[in-house]
Amino acid sequence: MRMRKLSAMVLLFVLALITVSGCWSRRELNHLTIILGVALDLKNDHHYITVMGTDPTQGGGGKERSQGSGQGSPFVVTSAEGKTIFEAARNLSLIMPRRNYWAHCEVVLVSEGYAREKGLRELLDFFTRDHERRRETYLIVTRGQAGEMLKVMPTLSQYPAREIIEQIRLTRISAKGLVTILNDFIAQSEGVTRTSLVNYMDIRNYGGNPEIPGQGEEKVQAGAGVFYNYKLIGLLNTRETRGANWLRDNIKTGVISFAPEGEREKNTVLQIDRVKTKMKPLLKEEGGQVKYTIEVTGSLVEYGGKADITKKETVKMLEKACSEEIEKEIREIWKKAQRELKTDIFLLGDKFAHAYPFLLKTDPSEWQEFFMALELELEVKTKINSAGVRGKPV
Amino acid sequence: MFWQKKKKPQAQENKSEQEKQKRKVNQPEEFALCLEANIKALQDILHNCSDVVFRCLTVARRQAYLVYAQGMINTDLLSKGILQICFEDFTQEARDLLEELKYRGLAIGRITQSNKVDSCIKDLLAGKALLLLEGYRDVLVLDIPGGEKRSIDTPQAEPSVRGPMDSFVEALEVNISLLRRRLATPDFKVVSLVLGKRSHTNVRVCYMESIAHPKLLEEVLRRLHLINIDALLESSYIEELIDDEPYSPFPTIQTTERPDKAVASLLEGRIVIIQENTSFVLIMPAFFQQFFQAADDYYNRYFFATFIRILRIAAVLISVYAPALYVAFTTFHQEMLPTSLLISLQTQREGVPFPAVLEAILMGIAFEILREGGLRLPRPIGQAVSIVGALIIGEAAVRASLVSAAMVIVTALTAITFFTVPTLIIGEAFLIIRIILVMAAGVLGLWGILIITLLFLAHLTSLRSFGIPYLSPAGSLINLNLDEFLVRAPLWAMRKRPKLLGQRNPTRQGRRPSPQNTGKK
Repeated sequence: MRMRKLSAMVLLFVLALITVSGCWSRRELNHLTIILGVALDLKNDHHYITVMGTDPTQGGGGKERSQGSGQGSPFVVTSAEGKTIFEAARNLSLIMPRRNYWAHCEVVLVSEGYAREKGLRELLDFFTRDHERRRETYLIVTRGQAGEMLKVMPTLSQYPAREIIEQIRLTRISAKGLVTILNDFIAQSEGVTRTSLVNYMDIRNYGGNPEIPGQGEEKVQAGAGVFYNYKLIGLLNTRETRGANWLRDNIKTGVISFAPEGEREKNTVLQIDRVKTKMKPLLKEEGGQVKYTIEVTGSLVEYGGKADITKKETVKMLEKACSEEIEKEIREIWKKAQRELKTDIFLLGDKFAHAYPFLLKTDPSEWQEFFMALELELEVKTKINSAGVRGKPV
Repeated sequence: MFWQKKKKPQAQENKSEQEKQKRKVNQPEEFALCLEANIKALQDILHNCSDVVFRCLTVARRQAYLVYAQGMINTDLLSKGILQICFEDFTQEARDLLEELKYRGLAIGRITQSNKVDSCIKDLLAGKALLLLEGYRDVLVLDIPGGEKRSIDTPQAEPSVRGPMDSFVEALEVNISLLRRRLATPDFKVVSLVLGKRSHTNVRVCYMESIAHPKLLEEVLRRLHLINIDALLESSYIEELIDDEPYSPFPTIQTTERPDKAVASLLEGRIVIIQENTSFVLIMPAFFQQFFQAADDYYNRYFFATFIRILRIAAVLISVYAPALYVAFTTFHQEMLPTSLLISLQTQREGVPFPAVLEAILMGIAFEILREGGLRLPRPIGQAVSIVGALIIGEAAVRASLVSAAMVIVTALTAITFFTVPTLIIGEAFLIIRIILVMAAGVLGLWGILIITLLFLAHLTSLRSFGIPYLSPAGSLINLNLDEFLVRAPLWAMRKRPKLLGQRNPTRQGRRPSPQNTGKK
């Protein structure tokens, strides 16, 4: 008897559960468009948001649809305007029939103009306050309109946003770019230096049919944008970006072209296998000093010199030339940072604060001044551990 | 209320009891001296039982009757053992004729004497022959079992690659002999019972006297004696009637058709019940983990057996959770899937008219229908079912955008992993959980799955099989012997019997017999 009553009650409970709750916060995939990338521009002093969402009606995701046209691209790019970013994002629903789903938004592009004028505070708040958006989103600054970047037809990927991500992830093999996610950006901008570097991209036209929008264009890595206090204050080209990466200990691999002794052209190339960076911040009475020891191990992949490479002396000579080249690259960006940008793009402030915790309370402008007077002691050691599978040059 | 018991049936029971009493009055309790009267009485009781043969003979110038049920006795033995003797010369009547017949009928296994009509009728219908003699009150009951039987076959429901290939059959004596052959010890006891008010089914309770706990045996026998049912057609009747947990989808009694499995269980201190006319025997108490073990586990090397055992549990988890997780991920927690996978799923789901929950439930039901349909049909038609199922459900439904391809994959995965469970009965319990889980996932997403999982875990921990926790040995840390659960320990490492079962005689074997010292270190 009791058992029967109990089971009847459980049954009623389950029924009530199913019917009353009505599937709380259920989102069917059929009613969503997954936003993969978003771009922010300024338009008439308003936020102008461009999103790239999936269009499952056109296939994509590697599936061939038997019926319907396979002609269209599997994504849509739509823009909307608003007084705030969230308003602009919600205004998208006036244009799109599907609800935007933001949890998979992997990249946010900001135009140079927006970053210079407005700064990124609003954007970061938009991305970190709402639970649906992620802090792991990649941040990119673009030259010109950011929205245009999402309209460039992808060539080796199905979705423009994913192509951008693949591209910036691949910068690790050239070391001429960098990867910044929102979380890093916030951490760096809240640090002693208030400075962050963000990947910088450009659109390059290589010809093709100008009537079809987005065709004949390609996205290019163009260095890095320097942010101070959430605002863009300067730009670095790719060479300078790598220079900065040396001191930020951000180089895994890459290639260095240098001229061997007696040659005028940079016809010899070293491929970096391993980099070991030692950094020591020092506070002295007359100011600060930072001591870098960078040990580069690599293999020779191109050799344009005439000397016999099987000789020890030749290798020594090459190693020295390569070290000098690296040092030159670093000194150049160091000079630019101190003289032109007047900003600690190497995030040395955090390292100093780590060694001398009282520096944590330093005012950012104070630190900037301190940085401009900072002395760099640099030692680059190169070791060539392989000259490839060939001895003498051709 | 619809679930309340109605009071009527009790009155009916009383009535039938009275009828029984009335009938007994007409029936004589004991046989009389007059043969004709005895035969008349038997024929009265057995009227319209055309399978009972009354055969008139003359033994030593006395009239006699041989009575037996057709097809239930060994006619060969009958003619050799008794008919031949009947025509022998009984000139020197030194002894009583009945005694004489008993001593001469050596070819017959067992001959008893009785003058109770009731018990004789029971024996007659249980496959014994009666010999009635003129001038004697006693009747000879000849035990000459025979008739058509299925021969010992390979196990159909629990096949194994390596291991004994014999399985239990419907004949009780054969089944007992299969066990006795493996346990040639007086320690192996077989208690005989007859259950079923009308069927008078023979039931045997087997146990190892020095291992099985006497209280357990007592409890099993007590429950068996409480059975009051018309007929036992399959051992599942007993299972259902003496089950600890009648309201649970989980079985607390194991069934097997493998004698080796039954013997292994006996040696762990369990009790085996064998019923006549079925090839499935019952093993009790049974624990949750037992249903994941195949006999092969103990015949393969333990590395592989352990791997397979873990794989099986993983497969069961997939089978239970795959559709529910699919529903939860695609309708509630899209952020938990990798982006490319989500895009792919979205593309597949495009144009599918049903929500994912409904899709999952429909596909699940479609599969169960296919399985059930294929199961009962004769083999040639059964193939047609699977072809139609594969083509329509698998191919055409996806083409027509009725279901998404991913859902078909999930359903197929569920089905395949479902079949890795060695005992289907627990798979059927999981089937129920799976359906509930899918519904919960459709309502509350992962929260729903979590809640139902907790409820079922609580339910599983609350179960008992003959007083022993169902989840043991994993349930309590006190009696932990994990070598029987996730891992199949090497044979030489399993020195102790399961703690809760074999406490009486805990040691299974001595130390590992190590190979002779070969000088290697």
